[in-house]
Amino acid sequence: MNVKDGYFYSKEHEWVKIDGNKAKVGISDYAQHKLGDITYVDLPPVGKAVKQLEILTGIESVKAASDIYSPMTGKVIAVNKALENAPELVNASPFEDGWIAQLEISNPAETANLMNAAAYKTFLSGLEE
Amino acid sequence: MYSKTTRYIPFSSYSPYENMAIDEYLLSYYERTSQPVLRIYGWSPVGISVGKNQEALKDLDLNRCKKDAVPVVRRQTGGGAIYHNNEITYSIVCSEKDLSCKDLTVKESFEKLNQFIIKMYAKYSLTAAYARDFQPSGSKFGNPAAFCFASNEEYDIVIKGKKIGGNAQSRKKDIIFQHGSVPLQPNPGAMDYFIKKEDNGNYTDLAALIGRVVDPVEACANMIASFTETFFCSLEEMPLKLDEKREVVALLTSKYAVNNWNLKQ
Repeated sequence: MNVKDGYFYSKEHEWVKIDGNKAKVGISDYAQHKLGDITYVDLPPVGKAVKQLEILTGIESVKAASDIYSPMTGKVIAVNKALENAPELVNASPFEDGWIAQLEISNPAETANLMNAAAYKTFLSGLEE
Repeated sequence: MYSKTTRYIPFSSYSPYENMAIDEYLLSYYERTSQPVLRIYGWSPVGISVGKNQEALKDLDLNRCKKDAVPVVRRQTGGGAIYHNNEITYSIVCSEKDLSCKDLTVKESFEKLNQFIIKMYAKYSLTAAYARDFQPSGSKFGNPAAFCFASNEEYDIVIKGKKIGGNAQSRKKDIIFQHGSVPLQPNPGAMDYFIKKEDNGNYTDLAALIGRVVDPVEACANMIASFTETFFCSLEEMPLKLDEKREVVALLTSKYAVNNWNLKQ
């Protein structure tokens, strides 16, 4: 599974990439592989406030609807509208073109509750045992 | 679930709204107790369920539903619409750990979980298998359809080349919630009448396969037996208690009996 440096990861397999007080959010390569072909991404409304590790929105793969949790506390300031017509971008490019939402984050220190790439790799290897 | 005592909610028929409210309650029950649940139920009155993210306004003829007093309810699971009549429906709540499928993909978990349905059909001397086993390698699967039984997925259950019933999941962290239906008799014309498109007709039902109509109570007994045999577990029969029913009613009145949820865009 591809794990990218420079991202933080949650145990529920979401990633966040922080740039100042903005943060893009998506699901990891492991998550997209596990879910299978993504058929729908429920883009959250811009302006929605969310707390760390609470439900941000939902995603559907073939016959399975799953929750997506927010890796950080913040407010949704943008969503990836390309996913409306091309949800498969989450499968093809989970870390880049398949980003789901951008948050304005309120507490960068919350990354202490997440994993960096090295820790996430270790976490994944534990799941596969 | 393997070797774990599973709560069994005995067969009964409820309205579409009540059914989905009970199922959501059972998910919260699992979150509190970690006890797997099997529930088998019927639909009275008959109704249509749509997938969690399905566009009901686009895919259903809501005027006909209204005219014929057929309720439409939204599931918490994915997939397409189902007209629920002449069938038994099941719901299962368990965790990936209960099912020993933590390292499996969602599709592979269907394969594992649906074994008990295949075993159930075997009790009627029917050889059921997964769709992928009937199609040449390289076949294209995964064409979501407005009508569940017209979809074509690798782990759909197929008998004599025709799809039978449907299954769909909802995932909440490591908790798996799965719905499925076993059609006991055909519902001629209903799919075309209420659901707007894509009825390829390539589906079947138990009566068509074995030449007699199976009573829901009999189907239910066979489902229970195949479930315990597949997962080596015992069942603890535990109907909903009064305080649980109160929680169901709260979900019913706040969510499932109102159109904000059922017909959301």
